[in-house]
Amino acid sequence: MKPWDAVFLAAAAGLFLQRPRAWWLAAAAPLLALAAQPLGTFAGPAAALAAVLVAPRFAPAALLLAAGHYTGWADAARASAVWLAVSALLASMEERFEEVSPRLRGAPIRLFATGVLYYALLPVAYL
Amino acid sequence: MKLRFPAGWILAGLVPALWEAPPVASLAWAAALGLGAALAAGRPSRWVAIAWIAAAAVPGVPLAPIAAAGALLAGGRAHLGAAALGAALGAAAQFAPFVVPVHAGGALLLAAAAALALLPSNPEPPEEESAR
Repeated sequence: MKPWDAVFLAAAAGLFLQRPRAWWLAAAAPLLALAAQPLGTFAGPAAALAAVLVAPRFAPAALLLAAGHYTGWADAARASAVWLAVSALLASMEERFEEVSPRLRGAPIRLFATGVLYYALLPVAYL
Repeated sequence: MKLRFPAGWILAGLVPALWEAPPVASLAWAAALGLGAALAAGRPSRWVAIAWIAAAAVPGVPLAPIAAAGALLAGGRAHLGAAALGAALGAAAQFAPFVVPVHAGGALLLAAAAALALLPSNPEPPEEESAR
């Protein structure tokens, strides 16, 4: 999975999970996935287990972040930073999400906002 | 809160469309999701074990997306729905590569939002939790 897709799918998933205090620890998942790469056959399981251990109650988001194919430390660090920024931005918009029409309220507006941010922040993917 | 029908299976069903895996991987992903719904009981570590077995049984199947989709969902209905949608979208992405351009994730998220807006029931967001 492309890192940009993994980041925004994880951000969208995070909107539907109970957010623990240490939710931001899931941002370590891309770095852990990259660190596990030298393990060869065990890289996938090690990265997934590390993602679950680092954020057990935010595991789906961490696992989606770990699913990205990261080519280097800069790539993984950028994915972590973008996920943190997007998640914080979406969390700050929670009150605004309640002001939309009933048909869009709930999951649709959250996925719509994530999709819009996906393309709005796309230039960052080319840095 | 874990995702239930219909937002859950739509979000989890997007996963196979976004990876670059062989066509059989989407079917293996769907099979693992269906099987795991009965065995994993919603525990992420068990989902990692099921995904590990699936990745070992079918070469080319990525492990983390199976575990992520499984851990994200709650209830057998959501898992089966996600498995069906994911297999269909994964096959569509393989046979029609022109619909999955360089950055298709945003378009899929917007399409999922539109589909959910047209469906009658939307899940409410969870309450903020105070402790980890």
